[in-house]
Amino acid sequence: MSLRITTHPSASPGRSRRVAFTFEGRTLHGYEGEPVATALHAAGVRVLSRSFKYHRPRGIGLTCGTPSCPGCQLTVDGQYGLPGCATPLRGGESVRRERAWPGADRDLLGAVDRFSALVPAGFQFRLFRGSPRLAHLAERLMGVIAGGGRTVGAGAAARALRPRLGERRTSLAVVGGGVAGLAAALAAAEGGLEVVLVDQGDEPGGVLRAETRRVRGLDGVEVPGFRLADGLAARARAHASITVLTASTALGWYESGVLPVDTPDGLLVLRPERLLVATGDYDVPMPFPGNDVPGVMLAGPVQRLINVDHVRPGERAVVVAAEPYGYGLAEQLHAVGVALAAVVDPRPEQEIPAGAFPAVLAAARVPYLPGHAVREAVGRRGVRRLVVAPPGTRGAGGPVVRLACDTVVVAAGRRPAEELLLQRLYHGDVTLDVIRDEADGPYSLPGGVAVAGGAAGTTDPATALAHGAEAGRRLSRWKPESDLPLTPVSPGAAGRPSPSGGTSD
Amino acid sequence: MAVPGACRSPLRRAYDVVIVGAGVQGLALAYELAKLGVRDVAVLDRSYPGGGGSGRNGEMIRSAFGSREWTGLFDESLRRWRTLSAELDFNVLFSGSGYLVLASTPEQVERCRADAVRQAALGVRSQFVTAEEARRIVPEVNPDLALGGVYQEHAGFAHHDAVVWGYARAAARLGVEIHTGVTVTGVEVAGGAVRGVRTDRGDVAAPVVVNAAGGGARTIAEMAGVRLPTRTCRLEMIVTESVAPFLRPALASLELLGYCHQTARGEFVGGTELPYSDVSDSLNGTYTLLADMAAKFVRLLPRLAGVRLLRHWAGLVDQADDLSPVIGPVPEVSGFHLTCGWVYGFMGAPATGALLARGIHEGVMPELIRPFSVTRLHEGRLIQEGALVVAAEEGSAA
Repeated sequence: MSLRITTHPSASPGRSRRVAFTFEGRTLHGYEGEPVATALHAAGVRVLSRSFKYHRPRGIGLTCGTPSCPGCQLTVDGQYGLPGCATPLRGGESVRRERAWPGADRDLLGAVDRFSALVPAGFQFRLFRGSPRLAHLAERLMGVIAGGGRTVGAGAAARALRPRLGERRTSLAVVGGGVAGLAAALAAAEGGLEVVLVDQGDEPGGVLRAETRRVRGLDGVEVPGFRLADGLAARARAHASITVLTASTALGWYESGVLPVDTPDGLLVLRPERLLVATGDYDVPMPFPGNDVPGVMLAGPVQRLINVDHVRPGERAVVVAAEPYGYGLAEQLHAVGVALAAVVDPRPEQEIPAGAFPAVLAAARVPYLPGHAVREAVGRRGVRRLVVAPPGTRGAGGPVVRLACDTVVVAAGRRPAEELLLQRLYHGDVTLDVIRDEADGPYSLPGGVAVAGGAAGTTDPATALAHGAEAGRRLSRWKPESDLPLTPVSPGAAGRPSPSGGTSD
Repeated sequence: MAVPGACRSPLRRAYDVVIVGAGVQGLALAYELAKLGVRDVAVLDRSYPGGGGSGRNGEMIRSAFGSREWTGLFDESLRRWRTLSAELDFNVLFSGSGYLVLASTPEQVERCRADAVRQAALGVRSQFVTAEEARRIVPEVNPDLALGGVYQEHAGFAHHDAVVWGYARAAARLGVEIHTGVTVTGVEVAGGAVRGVRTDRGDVAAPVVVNAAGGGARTIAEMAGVRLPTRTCRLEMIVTESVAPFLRPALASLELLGYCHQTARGEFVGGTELPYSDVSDSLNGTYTLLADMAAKFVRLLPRLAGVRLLRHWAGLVDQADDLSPVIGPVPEVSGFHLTCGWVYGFMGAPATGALLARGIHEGVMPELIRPFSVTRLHEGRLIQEGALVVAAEEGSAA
């Protein structure tokens, strides 16, 4: 059975142009514009890469979206290290896997993992410490596998040189074009600001592009999440005061507020008067043995796979719902024809809200295992089963439930994507955690900087939308010459002194 | 995070020696003092071991400099580097794969030729290399920038974190107490002699206090009423993702004011400087330097185009006008010693730790470190060292 979803019950129409590409000498097909990793996954390629040190197999959906996640780095037309989950398929390209010898499916270097007890963390500091000659030899041997043999070819090196687009001043830069960033950009533009919106995706909208459930818009009307995202993105693109930079990455946030942005046309250096950080959040993996085996995936990447790319993650899945959104995703997987081996909620049963398990899944006789702890994912080049333990059992040797599956979907929570803030604030006495706890939603920093949406710890899209719009309005009222901290904008923080020591109005 | 060698017992009220700063200088000194049998040595640091310049430098090691003072000290250091892993019972990943100072103009070529002659006269093993030889040593280097150089075949680089951990572990095994998270707030001086330090965890008495505080050395000296004619400057470095080996030796470019090497794991590590010193005590990396490093290193090694950065950081040096270290006792405050003003402090640590320890233990500073006394700065007798790859003029990158 193909993993392609031919008739999707609720999502927007998928991509239509089928193209061919070469994968390690074979000709495969995919759809133009979908991520290369998606095309490979749909074609049955489960091992996309090998881990850096122990050469463990890596598949799709592991820690997608995390900066420098090496899970699906591929070599495309000689350019190595491209994130397969964020490289659109054009057709005609040549794709290879990395960090494996002789090949990623049967990687002899994977032996390192079998003998990992011999090479524990830090082993290199103990080995050969008494013998400079042996240490030198070891260093040379290490050089053979260092960098996974990755060498930049002359052609790729030339392509990698980016034109410099110079500097651009703007009254507001919004980093992140998810629902909070879009709402903020629109509100700020209405408030008279000139806005540059930077988004990594081909199209703004963020995680809401993969949301099929209904979300309440600012007008109070509930529409499917992806439609809401599309509508906001279209309005932002059409607005005369908003410049939308897609497929673009804010590389950092430096002294004097310098914000270099890598765009498809080259390197643009933004010097914004105000900054909104709306960089969203990351799915958090869950710690259990085998949590990196191909087929163990996080909720966000899976939702994108089924609802944007229209590809099933596998035939038979276990959903581990440690957070409420896992139940919603289980329902969506069921709707697109993925058999559910079970829905497992590892929280203690008394902490699970009544009625958490969707009625439609109960009616379909999907096994529900509340209070079951995840013990282990079993499999090597692909997960074969998930082992869970019933409530009240502790330690090894107790009763377990073995769930045969080829996919494990983990919904274990999110953490804010706060790298830009940390780059500037890590010396400060006020940590982001303190600010977040104070603000309980979007929050503001001195110097015309605000944070909203997932980056501020908000996980509900309707709230992120409202907070983004409010942050945009506040930013448009802020004046650089006053240089007063913006007040916290959430209702929960009203009237409290702002963490930076400024005053609240 | 478990800090290797860090002491878990409370700070005592008195030690024989208190060293301020758990960088490579302070830890090497503590280790060597303990080895000489000095008991009750404490190293205090406001942060973690190696949190300052010791973990932020370019990791490069050589002894082919231009002056008698520098070559003497650094040749002794290089000798110790080559057996340091065995000495510390910890592999510090020293790589003796060579160190090339690259000349890119006829003037620089002549300078390198003269340096090599002087080094030979001073007994330092190095060689002048022609353009052709330089390109053979570093085949990936842009040939336009390789007109010649000075090559030191047995020099190289080491892993700076491993060096800090190695010294910390070895010192702790000999009974040295390394206290992290302790801020020194004052230096007690009475009757022309040091009596101890004040800290945020109470006063500590000690007849010998050593200032090894790196970027904070001037502040610590001022606490003892000692003015150090130094200024605090910021340097920046980058590390790239791991790529297949293409650069064997450590490489410094006179033309680009840049220095770099590739680790055994494949990461490219390097830093550049602007033509002026960046006077600042900020640890923030700047976009100005990031852009400078990216552009210069791609020019130096065209294969680096498209290689992504893993990290970018800034560190501080507290440097004197002659860019030479300040080592040894302070005449006006008996018992107060310095090992600071370092710009090349990482590579100089193994020798300085051993020599200064001997000097403190025996009461007479060894020949090799005597020229670096603080009095030279007050008397205007600056060390004439011309073979450095650093910015010398004051300025700001902002």
